[in-house]
Amino acid sequence: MEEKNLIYQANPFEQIISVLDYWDRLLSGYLLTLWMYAFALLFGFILGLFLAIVKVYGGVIFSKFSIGYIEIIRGTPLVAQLFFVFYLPFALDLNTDILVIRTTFYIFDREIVLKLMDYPIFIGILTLSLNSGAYQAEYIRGAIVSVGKGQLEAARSIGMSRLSSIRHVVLPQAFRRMIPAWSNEAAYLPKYTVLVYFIGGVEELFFQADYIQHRTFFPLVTYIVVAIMFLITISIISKLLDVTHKRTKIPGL
Amino acid sequence: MLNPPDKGSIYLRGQNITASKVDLNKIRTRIGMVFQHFNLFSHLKAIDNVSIGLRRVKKLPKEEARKKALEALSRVKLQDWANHYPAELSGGQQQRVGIARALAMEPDVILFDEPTSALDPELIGEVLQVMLNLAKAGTTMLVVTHEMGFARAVASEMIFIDQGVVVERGTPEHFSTSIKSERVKNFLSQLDVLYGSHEKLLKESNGGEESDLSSKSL
Repeated sequence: MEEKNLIYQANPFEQIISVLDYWDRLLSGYLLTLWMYAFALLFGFILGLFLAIVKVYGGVIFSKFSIGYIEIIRGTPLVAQLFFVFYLPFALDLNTDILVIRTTFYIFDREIVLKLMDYPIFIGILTLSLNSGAYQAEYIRGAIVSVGKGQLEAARSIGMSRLSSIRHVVLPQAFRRMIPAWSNEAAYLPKYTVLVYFIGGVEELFFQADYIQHRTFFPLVTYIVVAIMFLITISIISKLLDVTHKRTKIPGL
Repeated sequence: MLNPPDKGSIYLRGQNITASKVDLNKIRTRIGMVFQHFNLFSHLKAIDNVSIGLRRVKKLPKEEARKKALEALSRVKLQDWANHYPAELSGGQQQRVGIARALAMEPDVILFDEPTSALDPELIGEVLQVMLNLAKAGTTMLVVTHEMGFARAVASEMIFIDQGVVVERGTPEHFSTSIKSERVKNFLSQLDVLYGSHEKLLKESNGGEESDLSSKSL
């Protein structure tokens, strides 16, 4: 009975207050997470588009390369890919000095340090892009195939080149059809960025969460707060894509 | 020329377009194509369906392409529907946009692949009317069709093909009076059953077990 009173147990409300007191760290971690997410999604899309077009229109030989890449990426763990890309330059004795971007700003007299680029962050963005590209390729490929051969044929029949037909006729339709399935990847990717934590030195949201829970000794509340931040972010992303899908709908279809 | 030919050669205005060094994209702009299932670009309005070739292939400026596209649309009597998407148009209207798309490129010849066979019977008339007007205006057309009445009315030459083999060829008069092959006669009598008087249809179906069937249906 006596022993129990020796340990002061903070009530949940106090726990939340003390975790949120680290809002500057939560903010900078969150911004870095979003930063990596945005790049990975964008570069992944460009890579995925390329892979999808090569897979569908590349003919027997080139499509094999595309298929091979997609299968290797989708068949191995992202953490393994992260370590592989991280250590490869060391193994090859390459220069790993990279442009460091760091910015400091103040909100309510708190100094917020935000490192946006260094070697581990670069590796994180690169690997996430390479990984996401393979998944996005499959969504894009599915949408391209669903557009139907008749559209390409019709475009060719008025003399448009193959590339121009794909660009002006097939892709505008494929992108519209792709959004619902592709929003899967857009919703997965913010959570994948968390794995960058494993290569170390990237001060994204989970790194900050780990720091905060060691300081406050409230791991449960810390991770709940982080989870809610993800939940809100991903809800907004889903909603945005939903609106985009409805806005770009072809009338009558 | 969307599919490479198995054999033989094709001449367009005296030029062998099956020769190996021909730029097929160039040739395709000179051959219009109208598809059985229309194949309109579903993300584009009617007007843009027609002008995309002018803009992307002929590289005309936006305004000029638009003007030409409107002209083509008015030739198929769809100028009032220019800003509608294909899915908002009836099958007959879609096919007419398809014809306008081919027309706008000012091709030497327009190929029609069963242009009316995916349409409701009610909508076939408007498409055939448009084609008839084009024929009168002197457009060269190569039409694959089952519409024998239409073919007889507009064709300068008719060719009957079965299983990829030319069975009979001749003028429309030839096909209405002096058909030689049994296959063609057979085909025409089948069409007669379909489009002719219903007495004939009844008679054919009663051929085997006569009154039994007709009494039931009555």
